[in-house]
Amino acid sequence: MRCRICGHETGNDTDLCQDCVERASDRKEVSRRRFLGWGAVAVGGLVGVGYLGAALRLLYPSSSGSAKLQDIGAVSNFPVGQYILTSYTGDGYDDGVYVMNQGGGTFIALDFHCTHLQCPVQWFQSLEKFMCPCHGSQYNKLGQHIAGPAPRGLFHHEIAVQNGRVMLGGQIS
Amino acid sequence: MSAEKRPRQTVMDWLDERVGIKPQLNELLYHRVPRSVNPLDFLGLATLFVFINQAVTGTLLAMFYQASSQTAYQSIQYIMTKVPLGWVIRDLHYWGANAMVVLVAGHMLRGFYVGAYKKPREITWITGVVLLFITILFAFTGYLLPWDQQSYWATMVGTWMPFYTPFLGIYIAYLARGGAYISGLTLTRFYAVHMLVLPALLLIFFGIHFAMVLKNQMLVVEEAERKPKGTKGLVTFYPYTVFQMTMLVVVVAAILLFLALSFHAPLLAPADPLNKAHYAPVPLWFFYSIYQLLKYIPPALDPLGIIGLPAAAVIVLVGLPFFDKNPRREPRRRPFAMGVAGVIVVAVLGLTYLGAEQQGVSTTGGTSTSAVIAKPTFSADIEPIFQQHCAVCHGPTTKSGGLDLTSYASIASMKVATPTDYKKALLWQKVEGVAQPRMPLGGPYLPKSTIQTIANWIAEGAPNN
Repeated sequence: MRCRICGHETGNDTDLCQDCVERASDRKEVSRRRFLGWGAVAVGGLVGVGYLGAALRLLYPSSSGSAKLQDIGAVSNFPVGQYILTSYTGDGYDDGVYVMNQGGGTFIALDFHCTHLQCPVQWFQSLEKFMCPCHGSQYNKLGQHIAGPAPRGLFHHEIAVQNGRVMLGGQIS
Repeated sequence: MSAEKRPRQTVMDWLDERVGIKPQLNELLYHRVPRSVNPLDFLGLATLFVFINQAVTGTLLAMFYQASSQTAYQSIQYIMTKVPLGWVIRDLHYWGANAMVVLVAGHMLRGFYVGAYKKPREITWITGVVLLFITILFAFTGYLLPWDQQSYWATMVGTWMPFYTPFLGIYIAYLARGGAYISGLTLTRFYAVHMLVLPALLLIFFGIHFAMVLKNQMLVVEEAERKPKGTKGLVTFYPYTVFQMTMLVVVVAAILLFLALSFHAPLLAPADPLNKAHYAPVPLWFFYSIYQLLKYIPPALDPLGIIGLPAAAVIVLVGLPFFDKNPRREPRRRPFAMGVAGVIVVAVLGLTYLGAEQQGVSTTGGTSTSAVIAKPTFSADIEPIFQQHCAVCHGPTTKSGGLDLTSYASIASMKVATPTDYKKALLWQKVEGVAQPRMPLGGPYLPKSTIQTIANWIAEGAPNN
């Protein structure tokens, strides 16, 4: 077959000779075949990225912090200085939260998941400690880390008193 | 007879005219293989059979299972109590899942031992590694589905492990959970992954894996074919090996059925996100080794243990055919590779054993199941109890409350095992629950027999013998 650019014999059944192909690529010209090839990859890639992006957006949870406050009972239900295990209802889940009335209208709310691997910690009034049954992490009365492998203290929840009711919010830090 | 030899079109011919694989099929059925094959070379087939068991029992379970946090637990109870043979199907699925992990790991070790990852079988090996991880993901996602305390809390811990990945940690954890914590959203996405994503991935990678086995042949077959024609001990694949394979499938099926009929898949109390009964989370058994390792390394190294080691395992396993350039296959000619692998296998098995001991899983009649010992000695009877049940918090590094129960000196100086009237000794009061909080903290508490053994030791004057 003859080359459709230079007219020389190509030596095979394509209509471009090797010289012309190389010349074209030297001049950085985008040949039709290269355009189609890369175009197919690009379009396919775009479709794939589109699906992946949509999937991630769909599956990644919306932020759960500082959600609306939930009524967990009257102030009088919380004796001063005692931790009570209550729950915060997040987006589809129930989250255990230790709440204590510190007196003087201030409350402390600690998430009950150990910060090491999220086992449920338990409050021991006699020891004034939170202890984790999994790897032995311990936290003091304020939820600060005092022993074991946990990387930090217990997470706090937003908590406020409104009209004599204790209002519990999402996890803050 | 002669009439039958007249050429006529059989169904096979009709098919072959259109499909055109008769030569390949003949090649496959009648290729020469050793008459006696090491049973370990059939582990891949055993795995395939167990996977088919999983597919069949899983499909049946899916017809009754209801994936929502409100209904999952009840539907499992329904399967176990109301559906005819439902409990057998669930137990077969449960034991099949465990067997898959064991068989895939064994298949891989065998492939390593005979050097089947070397050229030209690198792709077979790498797809095999991918299949191992798919199997583990199958087990992990399936574990949550009964929605009991065990599955809920194991998944809480398991999905938090990616948190220790640099930069991406929290995103991966939240993506896996579909929220800040485990919820019905986690359950439905685990179910979808377990039922749709993983089976599709498994079939794709198994397809490649199997195609490569067919293309490159099994190593034993290749070695057999190098022998001159007419060598004794060689037979055709069909029917000799096919018969052996069938026998193996029967044996594997019998073992699965025996396990299913004898030991039932556990179903604890329904998942309680507030954990009011103070359930202490237990990892899946194939995570025991990591779980146990975390107890021995300083907390600062936790990210290395949780993320670094598994990541290193992935790199080493996938990269093995490229790291190991030694062309020899005989185990004796590969001392370095065999040595490293030996150390890793022993370490993983050892840690898994220790982890199982810690979980109170009765292994070889450990302290959790043994009878009361009348005159216990510290070294043989008491120290193992402390090591197993107390050392996580009362160990040499943790020393909760200043007490190290693994050291006799510490026990003596803290005076927890005195006086000889054991009911007045703090140690007895704590494990019995007379003094609060009862130990081991959060339970599970010691069996009555173990507590009595401790009492006897204290009554003897808590000797260091």
